[in-house]
Amino acid sequence: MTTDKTETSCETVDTHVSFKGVGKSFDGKAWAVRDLDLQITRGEFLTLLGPSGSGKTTTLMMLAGFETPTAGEISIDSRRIDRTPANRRGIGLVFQDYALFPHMTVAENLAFPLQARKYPRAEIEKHVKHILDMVQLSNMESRRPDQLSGGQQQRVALARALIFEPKLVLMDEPLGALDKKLREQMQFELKHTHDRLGVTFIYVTHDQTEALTMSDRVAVFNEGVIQQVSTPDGVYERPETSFVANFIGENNCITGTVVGSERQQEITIKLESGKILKATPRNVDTNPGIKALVTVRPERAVIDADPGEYPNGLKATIVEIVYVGDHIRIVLDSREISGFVVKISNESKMINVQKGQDVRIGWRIKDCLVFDITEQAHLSVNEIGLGSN
Amino acid sequence: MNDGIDVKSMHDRGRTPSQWKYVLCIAPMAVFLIVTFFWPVARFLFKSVDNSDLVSNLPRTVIALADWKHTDGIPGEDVFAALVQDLADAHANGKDGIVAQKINQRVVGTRYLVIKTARIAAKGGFAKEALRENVLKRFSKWGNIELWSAIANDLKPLTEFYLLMSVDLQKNPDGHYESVPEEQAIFLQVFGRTVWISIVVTLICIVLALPVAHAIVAARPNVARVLITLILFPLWTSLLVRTIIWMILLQGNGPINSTLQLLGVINKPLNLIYTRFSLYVAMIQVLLPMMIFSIVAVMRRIPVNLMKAALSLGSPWLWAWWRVQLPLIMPGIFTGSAIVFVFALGYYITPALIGGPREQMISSFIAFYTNKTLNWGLASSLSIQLLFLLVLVWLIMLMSRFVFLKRTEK
Repeated sequence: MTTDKTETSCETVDTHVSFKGVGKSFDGKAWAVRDLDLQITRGEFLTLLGPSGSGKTTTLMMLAGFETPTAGEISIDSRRIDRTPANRRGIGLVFQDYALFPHMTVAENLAFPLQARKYPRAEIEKHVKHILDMVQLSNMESRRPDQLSGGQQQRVALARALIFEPKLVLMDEPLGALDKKLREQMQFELKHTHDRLGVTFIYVTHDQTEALTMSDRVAVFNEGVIQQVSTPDGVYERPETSFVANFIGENNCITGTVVGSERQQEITIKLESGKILKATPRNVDTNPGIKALVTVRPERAVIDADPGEYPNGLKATIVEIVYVGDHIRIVLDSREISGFVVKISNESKMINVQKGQDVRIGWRIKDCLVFDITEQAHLSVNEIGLGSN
Repeated sequence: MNDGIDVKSMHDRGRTPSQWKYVLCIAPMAVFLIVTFFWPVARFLFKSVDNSDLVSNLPRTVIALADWKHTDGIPGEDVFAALVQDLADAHANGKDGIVAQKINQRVVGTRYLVIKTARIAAKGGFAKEALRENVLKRFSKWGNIELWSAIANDLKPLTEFYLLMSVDLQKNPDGHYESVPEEQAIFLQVFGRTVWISIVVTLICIVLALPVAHAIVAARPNVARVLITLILFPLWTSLLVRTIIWMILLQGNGPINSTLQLLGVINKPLNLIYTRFSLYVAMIQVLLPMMIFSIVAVMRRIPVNLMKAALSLGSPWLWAWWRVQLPLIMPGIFTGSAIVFVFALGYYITPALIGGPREQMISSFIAFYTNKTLNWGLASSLSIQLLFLLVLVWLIMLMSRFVFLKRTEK
């Protein structure tokens, strides 16, 4: 729906998977997924990102063939597949719990999809050996899944989904059960595998870091609707809805009223305190009087900034300074907002600011995004926006 | 210094009371089981070899017949004297009935012979001299060499007579074991039939239980609860009531036949009751829930994603089920089969009520010999064979399970 402009301008896109008006309702009342339109390019790494219950897994399962769409069409290579049984779609699928067959060895697990395709025995052995080399588990072939570590199980699951050389591989939070360190390593391995094989990966996660670091494009889901499909920097730098602005990364949010627009890509907002801010409109009308949400990234706000370079500013008092390691978090209160967060480098000269000190927070017009607040009404900004990093 | 000792005594102090508690906890149960179950069962099973009723009441005859062989012909004067004396004593002690019964079990139709002989002997009705001739004149049946060899063969405190009989064997007058005449051989056939019926019932239960278990596991929790209650419902009804309901349903002018006739499907009532079919139906209805629950318990622990994974890997449904689902369900099938098979082996009321004469299972015979003819030796011997069969099945199960798990574990 709200695809990034820079993405869709490309004309000759080799579409691999296409969702057209797809909807899914489990109870005939509420939509789990609604009006889904999504084109996935051949060979891309697309991540479906969203909070739990946002419809991303349902979307994946409709593509895999374990849910039937209530409305719309799903096509692979322009052939409609939403009525094709799961076992005839030829899609590799990796589950969050890996779904390795506990009574079979690693080699038997890997041979399974090839046996289902009636490969000759010698061929199967060759493929199994090859894929075991690829995932670096060559000496584990006669182990059973419960004799493997989480990371090894994950690799077997991936290998099993890749061994029959599918053109499309789906992953449902495949790294969710791993600890942080292993997860980061596996992210790298997955990305590497994707680059090497050149097949299309569709990846489901609720972890935005994972989404941003691995994907070519990210589709942000909320309440069954895609909020934005864009590159990782697109969803971070140019969020199109307040949900995306809050869900991806951290944001300071201030409510205000639209005063008007004097220039293209610039809007004037009046805060409740009477303070005037200049900002960049995203999905908001420039009609005066509309309630709007102003957002500023913590790392784009500057303390004691030069008003010339950072025209927007608020007077505030430092209430907390937190040393996080690679950066320092400064929490400030002002008349307009309490708990405004500024992130500064741990080498910054601001490092000697004091708790209780009165300062001016400033930020650029381009870093100050404005969203329509009416669609925001049912979302708790702070809950979703903060603490997700 | 002497920390070790202190620690040990502390350890013991912490431990002993809990051990006593443990013993106290199981003591009532253990005593109850021993008194009401193991002891009576052991006593009953001993009946299969116990020959004391015969031996202890015929002490003189035992001695007199010690060297006698059936080739010697009808025993001599001394044996008759001993027998008459023994029977007279037995009558006086009120034991003539039991002696008559035991002898009758070996040679049918001799019960009154023994009882009348005992009565007359007690009254001194046989002349002292030429006693043998006297007895033979009054009761010509004592001149039957078969009767004598049957008695003489078995005058030991422990007898194999009943055990042999329970597998259609007998000891011939030479002391060799041989098959009983064909028209008397029934038990091996009944054992075979019992095992066969149990196997068929178990297999049908497996086949019927698998889809039901799948449905229960796949259903939403509310629906699953309703399904389980429906399956439990018959289990809450008494076996007798359920069996009688089947009798009503299946009888010649019962609802099933009347409906079929009304619909014009058949023009004369089908022979439903007193057949193998009716027996299977009634037994399966009772035993199926056990199989279903055994399988459901195991299936609930199998992740749903395994089947999805198998399908997503391109496997046809049936093959995925065979390769992925079934091996993981096997432990449940083993447990369910063991339960169903063992219950089926011991079935008694159902075959008695709705099976025909050719559907009677071994338990019916055990009941018959226990209650009707009071031939406890034979009843006990049949029970021992049944127990033996159970242990055999249990071993086979254990072995096949072991082999199966070994294969899947590798």
